[in-house]
Amino acid sequence: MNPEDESRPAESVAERLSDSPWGTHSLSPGAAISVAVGWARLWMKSRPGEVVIAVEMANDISSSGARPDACAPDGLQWRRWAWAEQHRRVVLQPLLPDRSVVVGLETPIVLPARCRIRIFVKCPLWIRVRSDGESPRDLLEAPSQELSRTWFGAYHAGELCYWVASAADRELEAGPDPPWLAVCPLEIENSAREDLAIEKLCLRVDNLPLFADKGRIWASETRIRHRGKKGHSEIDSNGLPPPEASGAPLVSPSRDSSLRSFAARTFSRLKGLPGFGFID
Amino acid sequence: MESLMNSLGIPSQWATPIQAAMLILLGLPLLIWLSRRVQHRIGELITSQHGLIAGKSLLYAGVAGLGVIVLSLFGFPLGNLLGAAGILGIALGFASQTSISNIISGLFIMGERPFVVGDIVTIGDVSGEVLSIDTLSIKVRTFDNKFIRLPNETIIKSQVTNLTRFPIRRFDLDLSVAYKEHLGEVRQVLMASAQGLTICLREPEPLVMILGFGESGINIRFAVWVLRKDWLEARSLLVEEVKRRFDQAGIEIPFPHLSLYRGAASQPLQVELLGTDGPEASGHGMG
Repeated sequence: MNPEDESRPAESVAERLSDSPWGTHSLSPGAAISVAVGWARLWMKSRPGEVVIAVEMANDISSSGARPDACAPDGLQWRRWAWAEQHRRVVLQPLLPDRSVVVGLETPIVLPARCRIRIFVKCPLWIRVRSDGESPRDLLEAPSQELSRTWFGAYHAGELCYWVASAADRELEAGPDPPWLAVCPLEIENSAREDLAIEKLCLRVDNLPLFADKGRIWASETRIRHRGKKGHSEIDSNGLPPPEASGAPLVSPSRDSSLRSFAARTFSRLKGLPGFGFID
Repeated sequence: MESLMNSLGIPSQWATPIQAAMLILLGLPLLIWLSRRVQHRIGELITSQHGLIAGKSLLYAGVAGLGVIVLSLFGFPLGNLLGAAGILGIALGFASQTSISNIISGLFIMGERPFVVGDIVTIGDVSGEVLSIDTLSIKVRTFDNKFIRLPNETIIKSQVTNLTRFPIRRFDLDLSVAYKEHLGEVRQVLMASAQGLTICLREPEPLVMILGFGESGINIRFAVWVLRKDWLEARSLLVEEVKRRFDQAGIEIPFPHLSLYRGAASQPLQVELLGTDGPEASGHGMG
């Protein structure tokens, strides 16, 4: 995809989400603008031939949105991008996290054999900042919320993931969501002969594009088919908006669009890895 | 070959030296090329270390073979040559026992692969990063940037600890809390400390082990899992975070102390204050 094409959808997300921090922001010379997304505060300003940005993680969450002519606090770690041309606008694009997410269910679900359910998981978004102009460039990525990290797999081999606790609701309540959250619909099918106890599951978000509709950011639906304890689950995503947001425009392509269908470990043991360091 | 020499008008006494020279001129580059190919291919398939060994083995064996062929061209009897080589080998073997032991140990190390280049290891009392694994020794860079050469024979005989083999490591923080503290609350505060640090992994889950009654307090081991690269940083951050949260919650970390009793445990020693204005008095005195 052309980088310019990628930047366009973020414009439309701002129109579809109220008080959205996403989309294009103009930088005025000298003065900083502050954009709040979740816990993250972005401070951005332009200088001759430069864009200067700092990211700060706040201790509490405040309403998302942009504040021009903001007074940047002391102690921020600024980063500079220098070009021959002048960039006076930046685009903030929502993205799913840069690693897989282990979703810890607040209440475990037991899925009987040969059954299928659909759940919704809300996942904090990442912020991609791009320069806007004739040759747009990705400047940085930052999380809207600092997520805990977790290990998914065995002690000697596995993958580093983020941890998100979720109610895994079967139905979504009406109304807009905060703009720093994406709704990830999951369809889980237990095609094994035994019941599947789901306490946590590993959600591969690399292959999920984002769409905006009715005050919500939606990820493409993930279908997970569980075949048994030892086998890997079949994971599949069609890259389209979920049925709840049918026809919603794309706001961000997936990080890795080559992965549409694959097999991977998704469900871990009910107790997980014990802290002792050995499995009895 | 001889007819070719004759047709080129080369005297027959030059034929053997020319043959030998051609063998060396063609054979050596061919051997070098072949050994590099083997080294590269095996390096891709297994490790660069295995590739290096295979390539060098092929080159040395090839050069030896080439030498034998060249000598046989000049009429050296092969049997005598091998016999002499055998005797020489035994003599060299006795003379270089340590080196041969190191070479054989090196082959075992390469086969067993307890560590690879770049790993952080502890061998005996040496800790550091493995720079290279060679036929006779391994080279280690210590954390204070010293270069240490460890003979392979020593490594085979020593306990080797590889600190970077697995992707995650456990950090154990041993601490004590005062006897008066509620252990349930202590456990909660410790778990919150781990959850408050993104560097600590949620799973494998942190563990609080009550080790027993110590001299000054209840001994606890708090174990958290971190990525191996974060281990050092986690050590400092966790101590800082636990101290901060204990201070917030008013949990006392006891320092070693001794209670003195006279007779029955319920009757403490009586202390009589002889004067209360000592410092002031001395202050007046100085004035």
